[in-house]
Amino acid sequence: MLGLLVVSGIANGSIYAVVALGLTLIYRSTRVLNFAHGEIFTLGAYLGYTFYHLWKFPYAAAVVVTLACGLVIGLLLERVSRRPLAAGSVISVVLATIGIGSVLKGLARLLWRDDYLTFPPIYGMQPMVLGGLLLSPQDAIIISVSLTLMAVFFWMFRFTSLGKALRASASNRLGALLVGIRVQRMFAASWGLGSVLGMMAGLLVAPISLIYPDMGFDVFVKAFAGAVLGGFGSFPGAIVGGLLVGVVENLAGAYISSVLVGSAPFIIIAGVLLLFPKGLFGGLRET
Amino acid sequence: MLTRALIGAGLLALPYALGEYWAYVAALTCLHVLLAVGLNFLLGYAGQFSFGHSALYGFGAYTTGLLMVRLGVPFVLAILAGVAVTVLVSLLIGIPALRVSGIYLGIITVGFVELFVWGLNNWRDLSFGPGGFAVPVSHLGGVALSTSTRTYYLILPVTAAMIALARWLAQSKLGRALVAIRDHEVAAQALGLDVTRYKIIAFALNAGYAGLAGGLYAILLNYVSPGSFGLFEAISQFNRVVIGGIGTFLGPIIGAIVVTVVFELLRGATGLQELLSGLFLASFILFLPRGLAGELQRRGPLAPDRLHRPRRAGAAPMRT
Amino acid sequence: MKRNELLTITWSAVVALAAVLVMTLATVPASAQEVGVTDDSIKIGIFAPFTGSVPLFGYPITRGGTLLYEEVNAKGGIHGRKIAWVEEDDQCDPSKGVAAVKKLVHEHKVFMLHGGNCSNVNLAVRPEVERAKVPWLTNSTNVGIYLPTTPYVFTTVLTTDFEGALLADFAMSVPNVKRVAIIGHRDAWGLGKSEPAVKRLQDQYKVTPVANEAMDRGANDSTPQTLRLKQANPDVVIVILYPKEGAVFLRDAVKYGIGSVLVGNTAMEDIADLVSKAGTDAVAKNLYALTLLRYTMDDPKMADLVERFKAKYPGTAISPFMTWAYSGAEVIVEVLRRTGRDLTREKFLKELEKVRGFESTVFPGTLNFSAEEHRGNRTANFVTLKGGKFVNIGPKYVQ
Repeated sequence: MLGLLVVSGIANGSIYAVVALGLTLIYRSTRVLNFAHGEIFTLGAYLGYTFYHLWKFPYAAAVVVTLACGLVIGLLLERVSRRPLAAGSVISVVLATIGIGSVLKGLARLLWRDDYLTFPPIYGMQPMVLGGLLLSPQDAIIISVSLTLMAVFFWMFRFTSLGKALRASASNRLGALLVGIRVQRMFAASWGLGSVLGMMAGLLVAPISLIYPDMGFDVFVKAFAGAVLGGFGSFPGAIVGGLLVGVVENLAGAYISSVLVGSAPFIIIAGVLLLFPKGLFGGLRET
Repeated sequence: MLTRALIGAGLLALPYALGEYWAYVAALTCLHVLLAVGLNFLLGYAGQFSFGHSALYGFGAYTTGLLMVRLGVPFVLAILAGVAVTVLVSLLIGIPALRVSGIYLGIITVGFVELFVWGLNNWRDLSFGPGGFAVPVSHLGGVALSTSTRTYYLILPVTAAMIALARWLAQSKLGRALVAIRDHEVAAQALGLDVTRYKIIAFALNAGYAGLAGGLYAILLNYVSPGSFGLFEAISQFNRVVIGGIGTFLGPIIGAIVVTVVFELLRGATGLQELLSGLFLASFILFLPRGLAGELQRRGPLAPDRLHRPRRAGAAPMRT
Repeated sequence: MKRNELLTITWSAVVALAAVLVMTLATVPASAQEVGVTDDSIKIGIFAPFTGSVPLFGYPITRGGTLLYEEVNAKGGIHGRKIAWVEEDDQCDPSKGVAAVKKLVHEHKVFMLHGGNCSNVNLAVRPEVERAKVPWLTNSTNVGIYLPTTPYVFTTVLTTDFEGALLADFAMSVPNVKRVAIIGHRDAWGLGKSEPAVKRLQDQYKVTPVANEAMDRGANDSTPQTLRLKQANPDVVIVILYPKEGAVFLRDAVKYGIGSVLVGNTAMEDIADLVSKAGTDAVAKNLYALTLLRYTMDDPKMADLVERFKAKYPGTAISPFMTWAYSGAEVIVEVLRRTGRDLTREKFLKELEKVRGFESTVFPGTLNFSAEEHRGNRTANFVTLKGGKFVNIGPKYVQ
């Protein structure tokens, strides 16, 4: 049983990790906690459903188009909510993202109604058996795609000039400006990329989760718990934290009580913040 | 003075002019005003971003209701106890939470609210669980507060008194200290202000107002359940303060009244309420950051607050 | 404190106290015809979560009722009066529910209420309805709304305590059953069904569940719960979940190989829908669900109702729950007829309490009311899916 729980926990946790990664990217570069991130995740699932199931695009095309939408929405969001308020305090931006999140959710409800939608499974439902462990095809896809995404992200962040420019803009805005980096563009790019990650997570989870307008909030809270556990502001922290939340909720649910599955994230948040607020990886060092 | 007298008379005559339904809406609006005024101390004057206010509202409602149902405590005592418990809880949470930097307060309080709702749902021996419980009808000097009309006549003067208290506090040394901390924390500290202590006081004020509103909610609705005190309620309260005008005195009052009444009038607009509330919040933050009160002050009809001119929600610019 | 403030407050307090005194002495004038009744219309108030977190319990339910009202009106109404109705949204929130009911009762001045699909709302609203002495037919299954019996509140829907007991009876009718487990939501709705089920198992059959797992609303995955159930090795599992979570659990049950007989509650009676949500018909193999319906969803007699509904309300989701409001409307229309032209709330209530052996077109058995029992429905059947078609197997397990 332990193996099954851990495997399923890693699959769920990968989703939380990808969402947390996007959230952390936006936070790292612009110090904003983007409360609309959960709704972006929801939109990823809805758009994927629309393109793949309603408009009959081939799956790959549906994915690409959805992610392109994610990029555009992220850029728009930054342009509309962060840039005009940049001179003020972060609180305004966060409140603006809360408002926009509600708008997105309301739009989703209007456009796709309230019934739970089923995304057609990409592969069959028959689980694969690997050495005593059960893995459904969609779970396998989730884990492998998530791992790939994270690897690509790290490579991009560390080794490409875009990544370096992002890091520079995040850590020292004035210095970055002085060396010619278009800092405003970097901020926009981080929101765009963060949203792409969020939408990707929505696409990954859509075949195994029913799609409904409130799905984003639940995942947002769990991703949030993961980021807090790993140390808010740290990328490795977001990933490890997300995975841990997925595994811990399964283990607690199975070995202690199934009541804990839904509440594990909040207990984690409370525990971490009271006992070791900087999280596992120490969090972002404040300048 | 004449304007105030007219407003006062109008408020008192409201249930007779408009009936029981509007008396209920008016009473609920008073509660929202209390919540908004309390939140304004923390968010507007002190510039601290917290979600705790919905859980604090719930603490007030549950403490009052449970004391009345389980121990038969008379409602006045129960409400006072509710306020005391809520303030105590805010100190327990606030003292560790306020030591960490700005965004962490938001993070911690999100966790606090969700944990509170989870606790209410699962600690059924104490809280009656997710179904909630009915609160017995209160009696004031032989009159049963069994209709909203009667309860309104209790809630209205209490609200008026708390507004007067808020005004007095805002214009006192406390208010000036909070604004100094919001506008430039480092400078305030350099001037010798005990920043953490003032933040804690602001948190406790938020809690006191929210706890009182919660107790009054319990006797107005005569029913308390967990679903009303989660993050959705927290966001609704943000809405009212932002739309009214953060950091002004009249802002929370105007905001609470406008938002509550507008949404009651929009009852028929099914499906649009979520969209509209998000749109209002975002639009006000972006285009009318001073809120309704702030704009009215700027354009003349209202006298500006003697205290300060808030430029945007919160104040300190982002660090480079 | 400034003198102005002090004056205003004192002045307001004095006037408020005077107003309270006046108000306690005031009386309400009596009206000529009954509230909500005119020469040619009867006004019914409907409240439900049309928006908010559970809109599926809004129009998809209430329009089952208004469908019948429209049809009755088209045939000339009742004793020369047409049925009119007003809808108010409660968003499944108690404070909004109280506002909705106060508006219906005091502003719209309805004759009676037909609605209320959320138990939290109904529990909060009940005292208000009793105070206003308004007849109220609800669609809610929570038993706390109806007991202790009050003169004004009625329902045609099977309440959770009856349902829990029926689920337990069905589970125990499986041959050679020894181990029974439960999985359910731990909100008021879920507990309202699972606790009576556990009680029935213990009191009637001296059986204690080998597992009682919790599942959250909105969960996408039930791996821990399913594995725990598997470990407990039950013969029968009683499933008290909403449709989405039910589909998720069924999918996981197939994935991890739960071989037990699965007994679903009424929220899961649309098994075909569960199959499409779960993505595989393997989930229907051992699945039986309690249904309130007289005919299965694919029976031609149900098809007639569905067609009429679709014709009138093309944009509204079709769900078996429409029958709840439809049966309520059947009873209301019949009782209005029996009360006659001289219609008052009191006479309506008296007639309602005399209803015995009423056959609804949508519910099995008969509906029976009395002065002590205002819940008219105690019968239910179970359905399963065989070869893609619904089969009504009655109240006991059949292979």
